[in-house]
Amino acid sequence: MDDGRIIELYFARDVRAITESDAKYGAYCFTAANNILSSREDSEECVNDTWLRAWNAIPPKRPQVLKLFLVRITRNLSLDRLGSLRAKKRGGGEAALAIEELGECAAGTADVFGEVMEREVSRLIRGFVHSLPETDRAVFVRRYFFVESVKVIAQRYGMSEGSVMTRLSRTRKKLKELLNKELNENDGK
Amino acid sequence: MTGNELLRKMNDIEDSDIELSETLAKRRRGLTRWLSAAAAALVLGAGIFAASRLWKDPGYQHDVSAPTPAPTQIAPQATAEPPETTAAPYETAYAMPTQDTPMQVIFNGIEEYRDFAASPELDDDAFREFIESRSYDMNGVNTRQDVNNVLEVMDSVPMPQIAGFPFWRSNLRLDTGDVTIAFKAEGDERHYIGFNMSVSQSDETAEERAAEAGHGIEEVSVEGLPELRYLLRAESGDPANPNSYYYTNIRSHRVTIVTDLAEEELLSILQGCRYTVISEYAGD
Repeated sequence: MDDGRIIELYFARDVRAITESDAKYGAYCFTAANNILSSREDSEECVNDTWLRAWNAIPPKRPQVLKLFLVRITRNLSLDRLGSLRAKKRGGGEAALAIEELGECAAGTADVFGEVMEREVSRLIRGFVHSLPETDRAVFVRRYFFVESVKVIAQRYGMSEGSVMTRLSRTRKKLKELLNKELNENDGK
Repeated sequence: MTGNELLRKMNDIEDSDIELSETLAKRRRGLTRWLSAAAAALVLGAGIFAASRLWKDPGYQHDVSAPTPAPTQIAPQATAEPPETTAAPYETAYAMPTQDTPMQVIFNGIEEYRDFAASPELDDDAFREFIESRSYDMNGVNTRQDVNNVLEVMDSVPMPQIAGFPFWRSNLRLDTGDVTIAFKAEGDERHYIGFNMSVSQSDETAEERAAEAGHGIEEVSVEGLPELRYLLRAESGDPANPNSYYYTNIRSHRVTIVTDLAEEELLSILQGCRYTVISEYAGD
């Protein structure tokens, strides 16, 4: 079923919207969740919760790209769950590493408070990612949006793992410079 | 701002950028298929061409009796040996000015390390191919001497040997002089422990390290952990960050331990941990 019809099912409050979403994008969302959580059981729960969130959000929302709308929900739910997994002393897997890597970029930046600053950070990151050369952008998105391992990214783009690591390292350095400049200036440092 | 907040903020990137990451992979797969097809067509074309020449002129095959042009005289090559080391030895490499891309030597798994360690035994062509195929040449490792320098640095830091946590990967940063050695438990939950170690030696006290680290530091007892000079737990300040951070000193190397394990599990693992060097590492 095409995405337009699935969205219409949501609008019509037809529960087939969920089964159709699951059939079409269940595996895609599961992979995104499992990259973050490294746990089959938790990832399945996040995917199930995704359909519920989507059900509550559509309408009024009408997603432009359903797949990305759904995977963003899954990603947010998975990151929320990551905190509770820690409380239960369970793993962090690739996400823990990605957080560690991004921590390098965040080091030394001002703390972000308030809705306006949150929006500013979102704007900066959106602009930063969009400005990257195509391959660097794709590699960065696979690592920090989909939380894929370096090995998987290397296979995906036919590169060596060293080359992926080098690109990521270079991009993180640029992001760090941007965040330091913009956020610390805004913070008056 | 924290790494976890940044990871969350990645949710706000544009749809087109997420889609690019998928279309680029598809484009690449398409290109690979096209190149394979083109190569196959070229081979087929060459075959047809040769067959047609043979059909038109049965004597087309190489005639051994035909005079062959005299081989071109090649001017004698300069025989001076190139300098063996192109990257500075590690003591000075750390002092190199900051580069755009930090040089790092990464081993994903102990097998990669062992391949690297065995590479000086390869013949010249195989050695060059090995170094380039793994991109070591992009990170300042070009010669056998460079390889030996890296091996020497890797062996200068203690290598934890942890039951149930096989070596996962290591990263030697030539710009900072740090070696990170990470271990990942097998199975679904994939807990990991990373040891970020300074190659240079230091005998600082717990108080000095705590003062340097700033606030939010708590001392943890090192009873039953004779290899650890001290152990300090640092607050990540982010409740959603699954990692915990500990500062310690093992065999005179400053170490930061990053793990998603609970403290009691980490302590229990550290108690059973043996330390060796990577060249003598025998798996878990």
